[in-house]
Amino acid sequence: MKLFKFIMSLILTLTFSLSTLAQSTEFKTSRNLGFKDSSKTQEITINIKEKTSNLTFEILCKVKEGNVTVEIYDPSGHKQGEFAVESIESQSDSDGEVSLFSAIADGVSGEIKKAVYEPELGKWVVKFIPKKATGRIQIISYQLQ
Amino acid sequence: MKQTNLFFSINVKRYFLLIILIYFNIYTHGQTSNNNTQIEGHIKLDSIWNKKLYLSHISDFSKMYTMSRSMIIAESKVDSLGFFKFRTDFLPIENNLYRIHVSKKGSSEASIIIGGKDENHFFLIANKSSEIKILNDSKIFNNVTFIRDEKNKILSEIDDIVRLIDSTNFNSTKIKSDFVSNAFNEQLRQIADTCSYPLVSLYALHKSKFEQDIKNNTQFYQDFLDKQQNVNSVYFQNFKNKVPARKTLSGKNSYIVLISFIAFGLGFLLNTLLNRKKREKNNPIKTLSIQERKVYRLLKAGKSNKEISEELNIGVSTVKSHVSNIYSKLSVKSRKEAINFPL
Repeated sequence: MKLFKFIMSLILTLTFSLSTLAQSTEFKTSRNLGFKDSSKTQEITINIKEKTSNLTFEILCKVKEGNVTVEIYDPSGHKQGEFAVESIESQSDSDGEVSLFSAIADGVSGEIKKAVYEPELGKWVVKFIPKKATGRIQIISYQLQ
Repeated sequence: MKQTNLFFSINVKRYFLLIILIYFNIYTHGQTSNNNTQIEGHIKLDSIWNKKLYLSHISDFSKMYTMSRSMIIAESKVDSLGFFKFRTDFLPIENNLYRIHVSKKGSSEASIIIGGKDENHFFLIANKSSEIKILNDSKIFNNVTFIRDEKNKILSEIDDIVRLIDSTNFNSTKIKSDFVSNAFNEQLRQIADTCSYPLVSLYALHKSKFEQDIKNNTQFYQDFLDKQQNVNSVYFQNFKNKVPARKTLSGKNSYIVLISFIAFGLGFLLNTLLNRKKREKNNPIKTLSIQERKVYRLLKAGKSNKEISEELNIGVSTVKSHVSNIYSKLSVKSRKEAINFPL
């Protein structure tokens, strides 16, 4: 009897897990950009073409030198989030060269997590606006369908 | 069962004692340092955070989410019991917006995290003579309570409303979250409208995403600025630049009004002249020549042709010719009709 109960609960658990997995699919996109003395504005577009239950942005920007502004816009053009990081320091390696991906613990960092339930269909835009900036940025988006 | 109850009861007592101790400490600190104005409090930091807090000056609301070392004006260690304090005697006399943040172990001390359970900052308003007590026993860093300081209590209420908006956005459909967001933003505008602390009002407006509302609700923001016109602050100056000015008769607009007036005047004049000409055309008397009018005036006075010729010093035949013309122009057939002709 105990064995029967164990098997039944195992089957139910497996069925439940599989059905849950079948119902939701997660799409993850990730962009990792390094920039050096850059003032070039870049836009990363996430196109939501069909009904999505959840859209999450995780953006992390570390700046060693210069200024960076990161803005998130919904398809209607409304700003849904932003942050800016400014670093006036300029630290060089021993040979005088600024290493792009060296540890930027001494720099400045900004991070934003933005989750939207049933996001508006269309193009969500992450605008990355550097001003003579050196550092790196990671933009991750999750879509749960 | 009894053992569980006893264990539970001991834990509750311990927790209660800890809270009492924290409050006691905060108040004691406040009483002993009456002349030493400061921002102080107790905060619970778990192992992911560095035991140091940073105070940044936010010179403009557009810089609320800007992180720069140049904005950090003070730092305070968080002691083993969780107490911290910043002096305020070097701050400006006027209320200004400040941000307190903490950094994660291993990451830059100048770091800002927005959103999620790791949000690492909160805002407050302070001045040179501020005595602000802060308490946070939650695991979420920015979930703070301000004790005694009224303006920061309102600031905290505003943050609570914004958290509600964010959680609705996260848990509800777009239509519902739009509906709820509009209602809460309206509530924030009401706080801005009624709050007696100008900087807190402005904080509420910035949290209500006024940029999206300003086009459709311009009058509200103009009225708000009128109400706060005596407030001399950079924060308000910057906000004022974002609100469309009331329409006045100046510059380009005054030219348009002036040209409209001139056009109206010219139109009126032209119309009057045309009407006069029309009236003249319709009145046959106006068609008489000067000499004929003189003859007609005497004729109307009942004078004979001879009397008219003597008075005007012209021949009787000339008078007869004028009279004939007058009959013709007035479309009358007799002297009687001419005399009774309506002027």
